[in-house]
Amino acid sequence: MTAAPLLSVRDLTVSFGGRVTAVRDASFDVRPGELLGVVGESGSGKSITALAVMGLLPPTATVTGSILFDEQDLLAMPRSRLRKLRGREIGMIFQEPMTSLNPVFTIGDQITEAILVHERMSRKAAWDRASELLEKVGIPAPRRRLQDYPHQLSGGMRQRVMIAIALSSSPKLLIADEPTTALDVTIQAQLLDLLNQLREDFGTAILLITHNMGVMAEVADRVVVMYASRIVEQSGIFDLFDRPQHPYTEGLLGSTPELDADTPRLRTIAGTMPNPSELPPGCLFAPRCPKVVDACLAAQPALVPVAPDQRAACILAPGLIESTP
Amino acid sequence: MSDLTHAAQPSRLSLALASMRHWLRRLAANRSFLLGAILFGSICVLTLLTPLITSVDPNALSVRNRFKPPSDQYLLGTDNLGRDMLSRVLNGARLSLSIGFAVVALNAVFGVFLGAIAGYYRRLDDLLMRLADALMAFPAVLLAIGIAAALGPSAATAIIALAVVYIPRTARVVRASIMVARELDYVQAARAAGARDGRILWHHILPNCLAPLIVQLSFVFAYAVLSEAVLSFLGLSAPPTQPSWGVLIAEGRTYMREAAWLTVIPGIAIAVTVLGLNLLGDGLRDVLDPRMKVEQ
Amino acid sequence: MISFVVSRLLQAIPILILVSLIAFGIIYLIPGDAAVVIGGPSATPEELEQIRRNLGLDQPLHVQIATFYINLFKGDLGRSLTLGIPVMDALIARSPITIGIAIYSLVLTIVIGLSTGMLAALNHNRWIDQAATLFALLGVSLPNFWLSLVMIVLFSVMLGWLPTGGYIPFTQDPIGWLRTTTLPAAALALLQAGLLTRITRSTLLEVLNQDYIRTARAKGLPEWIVVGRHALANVMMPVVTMVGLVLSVLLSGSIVIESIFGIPGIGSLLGSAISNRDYPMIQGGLLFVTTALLLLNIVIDLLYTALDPRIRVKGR
Repeated sequence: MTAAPLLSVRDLTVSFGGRVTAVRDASFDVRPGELLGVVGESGSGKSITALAVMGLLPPTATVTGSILFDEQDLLAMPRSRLRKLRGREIGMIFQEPMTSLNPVFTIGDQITEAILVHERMSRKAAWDRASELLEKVGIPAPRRRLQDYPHQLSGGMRQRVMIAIALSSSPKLLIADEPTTALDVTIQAQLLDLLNQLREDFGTAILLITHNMGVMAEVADRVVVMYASRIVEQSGIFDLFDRPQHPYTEGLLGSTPELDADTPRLRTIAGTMPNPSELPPGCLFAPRCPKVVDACLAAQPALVPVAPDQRAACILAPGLIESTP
Repeated sequence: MSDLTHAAQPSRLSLALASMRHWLRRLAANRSFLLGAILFGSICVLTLLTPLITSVDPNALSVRNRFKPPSDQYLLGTDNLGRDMLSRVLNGARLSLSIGFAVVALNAVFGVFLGAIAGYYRRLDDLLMRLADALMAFPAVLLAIGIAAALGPSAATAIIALAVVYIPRTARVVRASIMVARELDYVQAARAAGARDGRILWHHILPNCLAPLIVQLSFVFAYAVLSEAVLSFLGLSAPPTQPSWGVLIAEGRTYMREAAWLTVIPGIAIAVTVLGLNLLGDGLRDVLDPRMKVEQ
Repeated sequence: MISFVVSRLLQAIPILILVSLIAFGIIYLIPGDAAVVIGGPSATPEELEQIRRNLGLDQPLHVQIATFYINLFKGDLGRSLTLGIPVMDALIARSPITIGIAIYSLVLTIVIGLSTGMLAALNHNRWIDQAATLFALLGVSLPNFWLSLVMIVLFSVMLGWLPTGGYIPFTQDPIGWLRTTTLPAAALALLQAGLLTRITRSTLLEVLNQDYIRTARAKGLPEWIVVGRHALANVMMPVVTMVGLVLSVLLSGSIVIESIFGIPGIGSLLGSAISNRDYPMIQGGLLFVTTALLLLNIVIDLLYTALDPRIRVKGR
């Protein structure tokens, strides 16, 4: 795992109107072909991070730091070049399949449009490609489906169409923002299988955003845990589940519903995330942390290596304590 | 037990005052409402203070002073018969606003009455709403013109014609909010407790329709002033001896080349009034009932 | 689709019956003896009798109503008192002129309304937005006849660009038609465009926040396609529903506007009918215009259905 990263985010900070900071000093890499999961509660800044990579944040957002994709800085790039990169090199799918497709155009229209904006080919060829794509994402009778309008498809089907659109130009990176949250459990599992399979077939790297640890366990290679705008832990998937270093991660693992079994008992983390416009001093998680000590309130701990390929932002991280004699 | 709960609650009056203060504060913060209130308010104040501003008879002829452009002596100039335009515009304002207000008052009474009946008694609903649909199928101003043409020109004609045109629209707004209100839990509870229909309507349902009604009436006022101008321009409203703004424009029309102020000034007066009322209505809608759509 | 058309037409029938009854009833609003009002104070008893017979006022009410509907069914709206020709003939002869100007005005309304509304939404909260909002408000606040007069003074009297009035048929001289119809069409359109500006602005603001717009951007589509295709296609639908209302106001406006510009259309026909107390013409004109609008609204409904696939194509 020493290949140059495909996506390299450094010190990414996103704020709105100079008051609310949604993402602070986020740094992480996505290597070619890997699936990096970003996990956290809603409002933790994970979706904002994804939109920042796509350059789709509203104009009111201020973004600093750097986002290197294939060694080019997306933040320094002119808008027109960034636009050409979108859809061709980086594809994205969203949380709400029901509203993410334009209701007045056919599925075929919306897929071929994505193909034709990046590649020179005839409409006929684009239509054929669209049909192949639908087949790849597991939609039966693709030729006929291309004529359909979004409202004629189920939510799961629509999300498959979104994946087909995102993959239409064989991007190197696919960003999936809570792609299964709005769907029911069996469809969730099918879609995760599909993502996994596409990764193997095309070698597409995936940045998967979710609040569900169960989904992570299923598909992720490595995981970034975000809490209240900051990355609090970053680790390989096995280490994360075996030896979580941050108490927040532990909490998340405790509150993970099993994907297939219906476990009614969820251990939730007490309290709520702080309001991003009035953050407490010291560690942001301290007010909810079961292990909190006085030192936690002094300063926000930095994200530091605590084990091989594992980083955490907690002064009490077991790895940190073990390595200091 | 009921006495105890009653004592714990603040009185009805103080509750009403508190909520009124709450709405006033929100309205005061609404730019559209403020601007509208200033525009419409100043027109109203000028109209009410007319006797203090000018004592000149709006119909006094002065052949020596024909077509005087606006000056110190004649603030808004004089017309083809040397009549003082300031006095004519201000007196016209009284007539135009009175007609508009009368239309609003008729809308408030009959619109609420018919809307309440249609919304509350399902059996009458179909008949009344069909009738409303038919009246609303006519282009508004065209129907008013037709009715006024039959009744013969007078201020009362304009009021009746415009009331007939706009009452169905107001009744529809009232009906819509009553249909929502009658399904509310406490209304159902009152009905289950055996309260009489009239009491339920008056005490429980109508207060819920107040916000959309106020918004609707402010727009009706705006439409009424604008449509009355059309009627009087066509000579279907008050006679030329008590000129409303539309009549002034119609009279000035002949002299547009040499005395444009005769036409321009009453038009601006209409525009400021109607603009003020529209802004007022927009502001009221934003504050009182953001999701509501007013029937045009 | 056919069943939809049929059911829409069937729904319109009761409204049409009521509308014609209202138009019929207008003559009964005349205070006192209608014949005296129509004939004037100098009319002889013979003349009054003649007027009563012409209008059928000498018959019992139920016979009058029955005759009215039978004639209506035959397309007979009665005879004009001043022109001496059937009302229907006069209306049909004049309608192409009014329809031509209405279409011209509607096109101007949509072009001005859509572009100002879009400009406002795309520059949300900037000065362009505020200017467009003011324009939209003035549109619903200015009297149309006043605006026409001001425009005549400005463009005809002062600048001399266009004639102050008159009408040249399109078939005779298209340029002349444009010169004579532009001011009246613009006067009607400027005010209606305000309404459309408001609708376009608020709809586009809402549409631009939709998820599918984000999807279109994520595909890498250039911004002009995102707005011009993905957003506009969704903005068009509420705009289409507005067309009926816009036309209704355009036609009421035409009475005054055609009289001011001296255009011999339905509007000025009705305008002179009002000053001449030509009640059959007033009744017939009201009914004619309103029926046309009702039918037009059905067409608009169909158009709307054709535009929105969520209604056109049933889900599976």
